[in-house]
This record gives sequence, structure tokens and C-alpha cells, in this order.
Amino acid sequence: MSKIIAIHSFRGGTGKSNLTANLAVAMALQENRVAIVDTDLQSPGIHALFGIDETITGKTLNDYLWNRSSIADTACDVTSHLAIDQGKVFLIPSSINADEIAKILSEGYNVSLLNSGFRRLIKELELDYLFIDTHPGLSRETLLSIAISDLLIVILRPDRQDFQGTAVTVNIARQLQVCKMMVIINKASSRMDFSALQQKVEKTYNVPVAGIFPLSEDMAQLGSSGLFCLQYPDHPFTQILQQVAEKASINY
Amino acid sequence: MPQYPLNFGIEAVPFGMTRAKIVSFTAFKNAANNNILMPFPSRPPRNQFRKDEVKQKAKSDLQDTEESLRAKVAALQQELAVVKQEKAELENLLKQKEETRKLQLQEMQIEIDLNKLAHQVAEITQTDYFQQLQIEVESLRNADC
Repeated sequence: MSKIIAIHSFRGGTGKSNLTANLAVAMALQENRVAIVDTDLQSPGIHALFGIDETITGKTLNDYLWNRSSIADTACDVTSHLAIDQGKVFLIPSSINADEIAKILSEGYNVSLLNSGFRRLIKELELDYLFIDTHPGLSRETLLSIAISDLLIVILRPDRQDFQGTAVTVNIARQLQVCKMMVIINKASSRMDFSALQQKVEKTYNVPVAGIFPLSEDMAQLGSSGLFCLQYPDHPFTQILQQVAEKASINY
Repeated sequence: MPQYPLNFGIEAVPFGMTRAKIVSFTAFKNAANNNILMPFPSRPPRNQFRKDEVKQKAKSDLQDTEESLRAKVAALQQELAVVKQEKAELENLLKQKEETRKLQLQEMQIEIDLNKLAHQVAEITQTDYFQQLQIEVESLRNADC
């Protein structure tokens, strides 16, 4: 049965898009068909990790939301671009056009239409997993996207503001009856006691920690110019990512 | 200046030399004539040689001692460098442990402000907007079924 996984963070800069893209590809490598929808329409960016832009994809999620295109036409098959043998990866990018972003900011969008678009994508592309890369914060559209997902993964950094914001997010998600939640801690200092950190976070939020990613010099070096898990398949970061993928696939 | 060396027949002729040379009378006489006006040496030169020898030996010993001391100093300096390196490493390790301890303390200090949390959540959930949102979520979930 297909699943929708929403990946969210209360604040920007947590590495959400990067982890979403890498996690989706890690799950594709387990012979799954996955799609990533960039619902961060106000500040899109996940397409850059796949090395593509609108000139290659043609249609964007904005075209679907303004009834200019079918949802299937916005899906770009990036499997061959990634040069992976197993699974399938589709990307539904958002427009980077300034007018399109301004329209979203001023008018919002129809989440009901987006929801039916997800269902159609799952059916037409025969997906195992559909990943939603959300916009940070707690806007109406984001809360609705979170609420319709089967699994919510909240990403935070070991940072005072992130801790507090994540507590709010988890609380709101519970009130919206999101039953499956996991937390990923990103950009943790390698000098921290990860085990103690995990225990503390799990106790604080009563949510399992799927993985703790240390602040990576190699990731910074890559500079969003590619997918880390493909460029560094044996790196400890990739190994943690695979563990998270395992947990995400069984956490239902 | 004497024609012959002063020590002729005494020191210059080593023991066991041919008898003919030692007993040459003319030579002896000449030597006597030449040397009679010369002052008799106060000390035999053997002592001088001995002195020189001792001096030389002392100098050599001093040189050896100096070299040996230099080698010892070099070895000690090397040992000191190793100890300094070890000290620096230990200090570094100690510093790292201290930083880790501080970070752990800092980490433990990251607490959720529960009063603030309750206020932040209430600001969202106790609104008509959120009630409407919950209805909308219900509607979307039903649409999926």
C-alpha cells in the first residue's frame, strides 16, 4: 500500500530538502517507486539537488494548482538522470518564477486540489512512497499537508529555538490527529553525546528519533550540487540515512 | 749555535744502536767541545713529552667528554621535545573533554519552556481558524476513503 510521508521543520535551514531528496532516493534504492512533491512553493529549491530546472521539467506544481496542467504532466522522471538501477524517482518541482511565487504568497492554494493530485500521482505512477517537502512554519497549507500524510517526519537541529518550535509542531500535529511521527536531528555537533540527545528528545516529545546526523563537512563541500547518498554511498551519513529509510518503511 | 745537537750520544741515540757510532771518539770530542759552553739542560725532555702527552690526553679526554655531553644534551633535548609533545596532546585531550562536558551541559540545558509552549499552542488551536482547519482535515481524509 502506498504511503505519503511529509517532511517538515518548524524553522528554515534545517536541511529538510536535502534530507527529503536523499531519503527518497535511499528508499528508491530499496526497489521502491517514489515521488517527491515540492510543496515549498514560497521558496522552492529541491530541484537543484537533482540538477534540473524548469527548462528541463517543463511543467511545475504551480501549473497544476492553477489548472494549467494535469498533475501527471508535472512529474519529471529523474531516475535516468540519477543513474540508479533500482526503483524509480519522480520529481514534481515548484516554479522558481518570481510572479508564480508572488501569486502563491498572495492567494495561497487549494489544498483539496493538491490532495487529490497526490492520490492521482500515487495511482498513475504506481508509487510506493510519495514525499512532501513542506514549507517551514505552521501555515494553513502546511498544516493540511501534514494532516493528510501517513507519516510525519520532523527535522530539527540541536538548537534552543528548534527545540521549542518542534514542541509546538508536534503538539499541533497531535491535535490534527497525525498518528505516525518521527524526528530527525540534523547538524548535530559530533562532540555531542548522541545517545543522551536521543533519549532526551524522545522523552521530551514522546516521538521516536529516526536518526541523528552529525554536522558534515563533506555535505557542506557538496553544496547542494548533488545527492550525497549517491556520491558517497559508503559514508557514515549515508549509512544513517539507510537506517532512517528502514525505520520509515516499517513505521506503519 | 752548536754544530751538533745537545743530546748527542745520550738521548738521540736509541738503545741498541750500533756500537761503532757511540764510541766514535772524534765525534764525541767535537760534541764535548761544542757543548761544553752550553748550559746543561735543567730537566730531560722526556718530561716535556710526558707533559705534552698528558696535555694532549687531557685535551682529548676533554673533547671526548664534551662530545659525550653534547650527545647527552641532544638526547635530553629530544626527550624533552617528546615530553612537550605528549604534554600538548594531553592538554588538547583535556580541553576536548572539557568542551564535550560543557556541550553536554549546554545540551541538557536545552529545555522546553512549557508555559511558552502552552501559550504558543493555544494561540493556534483556540481559534476559529483552527476549528475550521480540523473540519477541513476531516473532509480531506474522508475524500481519500
